[in-house]
Amino acid sequence: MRSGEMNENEREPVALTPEETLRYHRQIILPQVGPRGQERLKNASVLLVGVGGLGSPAALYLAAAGIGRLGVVDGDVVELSNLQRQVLHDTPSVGRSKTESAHRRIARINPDVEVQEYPVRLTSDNALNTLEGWDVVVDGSDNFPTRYLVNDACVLLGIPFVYGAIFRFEGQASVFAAPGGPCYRCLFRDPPPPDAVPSCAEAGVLGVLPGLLGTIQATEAIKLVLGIGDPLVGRLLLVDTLTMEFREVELRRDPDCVVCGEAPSITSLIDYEEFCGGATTPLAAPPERPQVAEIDVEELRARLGSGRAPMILDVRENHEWRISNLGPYGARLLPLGRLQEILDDLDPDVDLVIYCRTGHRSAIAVKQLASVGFDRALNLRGGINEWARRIDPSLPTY
Amino acid sequence: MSDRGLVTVRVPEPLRDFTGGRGQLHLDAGTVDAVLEQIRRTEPLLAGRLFEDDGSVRGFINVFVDGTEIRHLEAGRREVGPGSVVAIVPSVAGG
Repeated sequence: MRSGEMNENEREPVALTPEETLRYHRQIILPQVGPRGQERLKNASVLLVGVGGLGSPAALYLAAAGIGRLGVVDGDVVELSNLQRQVLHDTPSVGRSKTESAHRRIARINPDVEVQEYPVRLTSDNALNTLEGWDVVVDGSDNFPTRYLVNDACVLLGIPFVYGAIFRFEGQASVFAAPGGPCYRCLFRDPPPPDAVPSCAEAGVLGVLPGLLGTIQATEAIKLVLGIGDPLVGRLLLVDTLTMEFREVELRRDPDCVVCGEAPSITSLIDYEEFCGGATTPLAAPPERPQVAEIDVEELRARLGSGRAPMILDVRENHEWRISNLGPYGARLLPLGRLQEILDDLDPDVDLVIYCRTGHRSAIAVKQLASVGFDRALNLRGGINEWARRIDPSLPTY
Repeated sequence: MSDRGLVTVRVPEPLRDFTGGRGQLHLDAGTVDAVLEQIRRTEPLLAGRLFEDDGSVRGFINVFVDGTEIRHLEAGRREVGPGSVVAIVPSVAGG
């Protein structure tokens, strides 16, 4: 239980020291903040769910701004492929737990900040105890089950949370579960099916993008603590970094919402993995893919050397083809989005093997083809990366 | 033909695999329903992602017309016109 920390939270406000007054001077002279506002920040607590791409900049700025207590929840370790965007962590931290890495970095930025580490994945069993008592939650998680879990726990506990989510070059931000405002379920009633949204590991993400969105989340968290300005309650901010457009759409509370509506059917936490149907899309691993007929790389190699060589289709993008391809075996590039263009030219009686990077997009392609009568298409299990690992190590993996 | 008199449909990144990479569609339509019908007719791959079998927009996708979600548009206010922007907003989980 975190009741001890709750009590700590409820203790008498602590005033600023002379050193703190100097450290936060540029913020204190803002009329909207002032010494009272800075004291509010010092006595506030913010919990970061996920200290990855979004949680990294959020943690840096919240620590620098003087939030008195920061909680960091993350069950992952720092990986080399994280460092392109997760700026809280550095090269020497590879292999360490993200919460430990976050703790060290925050302490170097601002030793006055108290850091509470939760080196675990948030689950239905630990979420209420973990979230209870914090003033604001920042959701920087990377999968749908955790996003619905954070939402429901925050609604049940009455804690506002700052939402941020990213994909390739685009991001979304809002404030949910604030008094009178909508929640995440009011916007997204259902999670997507497992094959509907590729993960960042599969689709890529611009490293700066979570920097933008995480900083927006930190801004909103500070505004909520200070009670200033117009937080993103009832508004969804849409950021497109390619066009550099910031747009917003209006969100409304759904009176029929199953968790924050007038007659909620969800009054305690549920099984979110089951609810999302395996829709986990962590940055580090691809989501569950559609169940389709497959062929493994050894079998494909054997068939290529026999008289039964199939036609090979690569459903990745042009730039990925340039990294690695099966062109020497007659593979043809056709990005997934253009699959429909060749349906008329395709002979349904020809054996077809489809591949992508790891086998996710190609599974979608096989499923799409099967739905229009091409039942001889096979998905190359593990994609071209698996081919590179087991058949042709001269090919790079990515 | 100029796009100026058309409705712009913004297609977000996660769904551009189903429009051949296009981020915008320009449609000549007078109502929200006509916009959705044109998407069904001319962009079957995208439509397969947007709609349930019964034709409704799927629960993890929202469609906003000039900033308002179409489920909140009153029956008499479902017109769109030249310059209207229809934004498709799917749930994404990246963090």
